[in-house]
Formats: sequence, structure tokens, C-alpha cells
Amino acid sequence: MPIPDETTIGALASVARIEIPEERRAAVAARLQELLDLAAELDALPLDGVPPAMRYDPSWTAEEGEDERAAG
Amino acid sequence: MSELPAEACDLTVRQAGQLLRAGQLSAVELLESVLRRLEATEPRLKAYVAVLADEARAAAKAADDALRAGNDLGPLHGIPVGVKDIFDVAGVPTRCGSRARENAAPAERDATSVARLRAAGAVIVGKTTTQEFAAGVVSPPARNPWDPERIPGGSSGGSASAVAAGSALAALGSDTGGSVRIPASLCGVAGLKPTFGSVDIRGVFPLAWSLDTVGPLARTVEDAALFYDAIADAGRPSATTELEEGLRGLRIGVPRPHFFERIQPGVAAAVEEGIRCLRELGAEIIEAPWPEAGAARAASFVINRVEAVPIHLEGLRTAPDLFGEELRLRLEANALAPVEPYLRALQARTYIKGSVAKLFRELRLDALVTPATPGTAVPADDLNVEYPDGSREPVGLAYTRLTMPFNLTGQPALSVPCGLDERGLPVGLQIAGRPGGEARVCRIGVAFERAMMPVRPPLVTGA
Repeated sequence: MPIPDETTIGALASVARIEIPEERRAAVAARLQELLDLAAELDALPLDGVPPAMRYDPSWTAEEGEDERAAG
Repeated sequence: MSELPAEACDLTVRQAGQLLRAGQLSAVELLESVLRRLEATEPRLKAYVAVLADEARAAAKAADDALRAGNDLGPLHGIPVGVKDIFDVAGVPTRCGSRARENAAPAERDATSVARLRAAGAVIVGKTTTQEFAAGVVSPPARNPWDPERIPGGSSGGSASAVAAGSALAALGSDTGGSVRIPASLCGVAGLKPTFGSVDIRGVFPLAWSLDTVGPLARTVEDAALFYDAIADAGRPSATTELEEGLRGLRIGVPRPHFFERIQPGVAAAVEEGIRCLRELGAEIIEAPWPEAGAARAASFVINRVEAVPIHLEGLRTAPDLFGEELRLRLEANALAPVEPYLRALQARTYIKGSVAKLFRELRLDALVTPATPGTAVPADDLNVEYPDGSREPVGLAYTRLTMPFNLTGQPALSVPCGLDERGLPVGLQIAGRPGGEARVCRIGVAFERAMMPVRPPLVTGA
């Protein structure tokens, strides 16, 4: 993955609607690179077909409006 | 009862409870001892951001009245405790160590875990110093009672410092990447990160939703287990059911190499001595390589960093100058991260959970033991861990390297004092168990701490 440079940081910040002054961009790039370097360690894992560790429960709670009609 | 310390504030929760029930000590006397120690040590240690002396005195008196009336609320009854300043305490602003929360209104209600502490009769001494929004390992301006020129670790640094110094008998902390275990290790106290989801996090300012846990810091593992039982959700297994059972028949894995690479010699020596001690206590020590440990740390790091962004995004857009430099840099960088690493880290989490479960199953393990941190407490003016080869590692990466894997897997993990390094600084031994296995982890920790020579930091007073 390309190392983010200050120009890239500026462009990404614009997309993210964050203002990052030019004098901060080198430090921000270094921090982003830290995350990307660690993320690259995951490339060695056999993750094809592995489900992500997130679970959405579609059932409605009493607060959300479960009522007598739910009994069908 | 073993020999008691001269000052009440140096008692363990267990010792204090016995004296309270025997009528040899009152909760008011215990609190006043803690407050005197606080007054003496705070100018240097800055473990607290708010001391609630009047409220604490009222609570201590109420605790004494209740005990006299036969209303015993349990092991924490009358015990002075600190609360990390990311937890809501009713009537007190939750400032989270940030200028962004300077004008925070007083909390309307206690965090759930704080309410449970009160229901258990604990006396809240005050709000302890935290790294800004719990995102870091330094906890400025708090200092380490073992050497006030050094950091206490973080982000629950104030809680650890207070417990080590005697300005609380126990304290509440949070752990998302190591923030209970790291300061516990650096300050020579016990710190328990329980199983993810075992303690309600309502009323706690979030850092990373799928990693945040609430846990105790205390003088002993036994005290930490008592504290955990008081705050754990209903239906969770108790942490105190095996405390007296010893280590015979237990199988403890040592996961080299990841956890034993790039650590300071003083840490290595102390931990190897600790492993020898566990063997002498009757545990079977088994080499248990966990090849995915490095990936566990990497995935934990990615999730930790990315999930913090939406929590603070509005502030980052409208008032970034209110953030401290460390947090601001972290948020700015990780707000720009592509989404793919985070999604891949979530997949990795599933895979890695399976890998550690397999390790425990195939080797029939009760726990893993590792160093809690690769280095001891660093000076406050040089935030790097130094290694014998001359290399240096920023504390934000170094101190979390060995703790983050167990935040990813959600297993309970304890840091227990494991002696001192060559500079006289505390070393922590990390004990990680099966999900829901707080009792087993604490059993191992209690047997270990009773076999080790307990040491207290030198008393630090004055400015």
C-alpha cells in the first residue's frame, strides 16, 4: 500500500470534511502509516469466507414497539 | 490474620473488612486515613482530578451506621474507592481528562458500575486521573508512586497510582487495549480486565464499542475478585469461588514467542521467575505457541483506533484544538483510514478467537501467562521503552503490545505484581483465561501473589 504523503493526507482530509493544517500532515501521515502497517499483518491470515465478528439482531425490543400483533 | 500495616489506608479490602466487622476500625477512621494519605501524596502523584471528601465522609458514616444496625452490604462495605474520570458519578462532571469536557454538566446519574459499588457499600473518594478520553497509556499529569518522575501507565493511571499510594483501597478502571492491566503492571498492583460484556458499560464514556470493558484495580488479586463480584452483571460467574484452591492440577500455557520477544531483561527475568514459582506451586507449565498472537494485536489495534473516530468526529471537525496532541493526532489519522482494514480486522477477530480456543482445547489449558508489559514505567519526559539492542519503542505501541490480543479475544486477563526489575520498578505478570473464567484466573493470581514477597512503594509525600 502506498505510503500516505502530505498531499494525500490533505485530499483525504477534504473528503472526510476534516481540516488538517499543512504543518500537521507529516505527523498524521506517520500515524496513519502505523495503522496501515499493523493492518498489513492481517494479510497473512486465511480469511476467505470468515464472517466478521459483528452481529445484528433484527428482533424488536419492547421499547422499540413490540406489541400484541407480534404474537401473530 | 497476617501482620497488618501500621496505617489503615494500607490495608487490603479483605483486611479492612475484617477489622470493620470486628469493631476494631470504623469506616470513618478508614476514610480519614485514606484522606490523610491523599493529602500527603497528591501534590506529587496527582492521582485525582476531583476529591469528594464531604460526600465520602457522609457515605462512611452511613456505612458505619448500617453495619451497627446489622445491615452488612458485603466485602466492599465501608471501603474507600476511586473512580476513573470517564465514569459518571451523580452530581459530578465527567471530564474525561479533556479540555473538550471542561464545561461538562454534572452527571445526572451514576454509571451502572458506580451505582453497584454504592449498593455494595463502597465509599467513593473521588474521580481519578485518566488519559484523555481513555485513549492512551500515560495518564498525565498523574505519576507513579514507585518513582514520581515516572508515569503510572494508562489510561487508568490515576486509579493505579491511588491504589499503590494508599489514597484508595481499590479503584474502578476501564480496559480497551490494556488500560487496567498496563497501569496495574507499572504501579505494582492487581488489575483485572474481565470477559468482554461481563460488566455493564452504561454511564462510561466510550472509546471503542466492541472492546470497552470495566474492571478493578486493587492491592491484591483477592481484592480485585471481590470488587469484580460487586460490579459484574447478574448471572455472571463469581470470581471468588476458587480463590483458596491452589494450583495443583492446573495447566498453564506459556505462549512464546510473541509475548516474550522484545522485552526488557528485567521484565524477562522477573516473569521467568514467576513462571518458576507457578511450577513450584504445583501448576503444570506447558509451552503453548500461539502463532496468531501478533495478528491478534494488529487486529485489536485497528479496531481500537477506528472505532474511536465516530465518537469524536464532531469535535474533530468543529473544535480540534480542544483535544490534546496525542488524541488529536490519533483521531485525524484514523479518520482517514480506508474501511477495508477495519472490516478485515473484524474477520480476523472471528478467526483468531477460534485459534485461541483451539489452543486452550488441544492443550487442555486453564490459562496463559505472559509479561503484562514489555517494559517497566518510563520517565514522564521520555515516553519510550528502551531495549538492550538500543532500539526504542513509543509507549503507545510498546505497553499495549502484550495486552491488546486479549482485548480482541475478549478473554479475562489479569495483571498481578511479579517482582521488581533491576531499577526497583514493578513488573506485571499477565494471566489470561477462558471466557467467563474469572474464577480460574483469580485463583492462579491469588496463589501466585501469596507466594511472592509483597512489596509496597516508598511513601511519596510533598510537592
